[in-house]
Amino acid sequence: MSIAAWQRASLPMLVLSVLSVAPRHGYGISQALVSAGLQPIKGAQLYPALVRLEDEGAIVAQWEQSESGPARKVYELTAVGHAQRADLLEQWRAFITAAEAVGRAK
Amino acid sequence: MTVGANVWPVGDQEWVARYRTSMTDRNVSALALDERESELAGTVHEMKVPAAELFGDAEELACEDAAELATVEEEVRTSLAGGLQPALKEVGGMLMGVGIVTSLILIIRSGWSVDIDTALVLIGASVLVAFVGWVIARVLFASGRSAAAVGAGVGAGVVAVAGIASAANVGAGHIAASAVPLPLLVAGLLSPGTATLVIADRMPRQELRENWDDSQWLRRFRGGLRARLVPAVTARGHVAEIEQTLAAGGMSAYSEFGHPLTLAHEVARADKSARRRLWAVSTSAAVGAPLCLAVLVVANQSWGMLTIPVVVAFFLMAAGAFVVGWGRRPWTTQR
Repeated sequence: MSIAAWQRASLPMLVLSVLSVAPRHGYGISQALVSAGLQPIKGAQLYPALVRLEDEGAIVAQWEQSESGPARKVYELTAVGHAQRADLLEQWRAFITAAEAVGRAK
Repeated sequence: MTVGANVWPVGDQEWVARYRTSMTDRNVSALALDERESELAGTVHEMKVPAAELFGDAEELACEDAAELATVEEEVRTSLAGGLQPALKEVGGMLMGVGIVTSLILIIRSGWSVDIDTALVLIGASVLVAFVGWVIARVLFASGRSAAAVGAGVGAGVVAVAGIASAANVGAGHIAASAVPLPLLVAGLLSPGTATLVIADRMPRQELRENWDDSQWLRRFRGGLRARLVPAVTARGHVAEIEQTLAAGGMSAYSEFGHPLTLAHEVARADKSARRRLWAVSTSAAVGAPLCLAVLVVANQSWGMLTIPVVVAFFLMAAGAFVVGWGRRPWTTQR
């Protein structure tokens, strides 16, 4: 499994983690992931993930007037999103611990 | 790929046939299906155990595989929005349906030969134009071309009304052809649908369009959202956001977001109000269409002594559609 595939599978957790630091617009989320050392994520994957998270109530979006240029849609984490992120991180850590244990057993 | 991949042992032919049947219309690409079958056949050869014993029920495995292998791209490619081939299949199916129903009515009501009334031919042709116009309008709407869809629908409606007006003008009793043999007439009624379906079946597999400039892409994306019943305000918001991303990143819409209708389908699927609207419209249509047909059959007594059984069949279809629709109501089922 490639890093890109891991990234796709864990995209909701990554997006929620980026937004837990500060509100961002869609392109900003993508840039934050790249800055953290991950591979660039296409809008075709990121955008539906954002719409799903918004539909689930994990994030909210609002249009903000930028100083230079058109208005931007900025996403922010909600209380539901914080809880969802904590839950996903817990599952991720449990998976990593188990996977490492399997690796050590070999 | 292992030796003997995709070559199934004779004893497994029935199992694999059921697997293939269960995988049809599940939005799994031919390539993915072929690879999965190679994998399964390879395992069967390696283990030397019958497929049913190794993998269990073919339909259950197909359900699990489809959940994993289905893609939105394939869903769009095979949907009405997927180009000429699905459109021709839809038109062919509709022509066959009209042809079969008309043939059955003629067989029930006539002898071995029929006098063809000019007014009835005009009415029949008008109904056909209305049906074909409806299918073309649906194809255009599903492809995100709302204005063209309205144009096609209105155009077909005008032609159909003109045809019916001409029929009323001609009046009954004008015979266009006398004593036409029924088998010849039935063959004539069924051949357009058969020919269309054969042509659609023999067409090469169509791929989704890849060349888009950004303005075309955005227009089609918005049309795709509206075709999936995303509210207008929400659709405008999505388009504005994509425009904002394109301006910030300097990339092309297709290279960043893929096919506009694929993204529109994914976004609409994640939108609560679009899901509810789509469910309400599709369930109402599935329940309402057989009920309307039942009313028409009763009003015209077109099926003679078979009127009651035909009406009961339509009521059962409507009841079945309601039960299925209720089972899929979006406020209790997950995406």
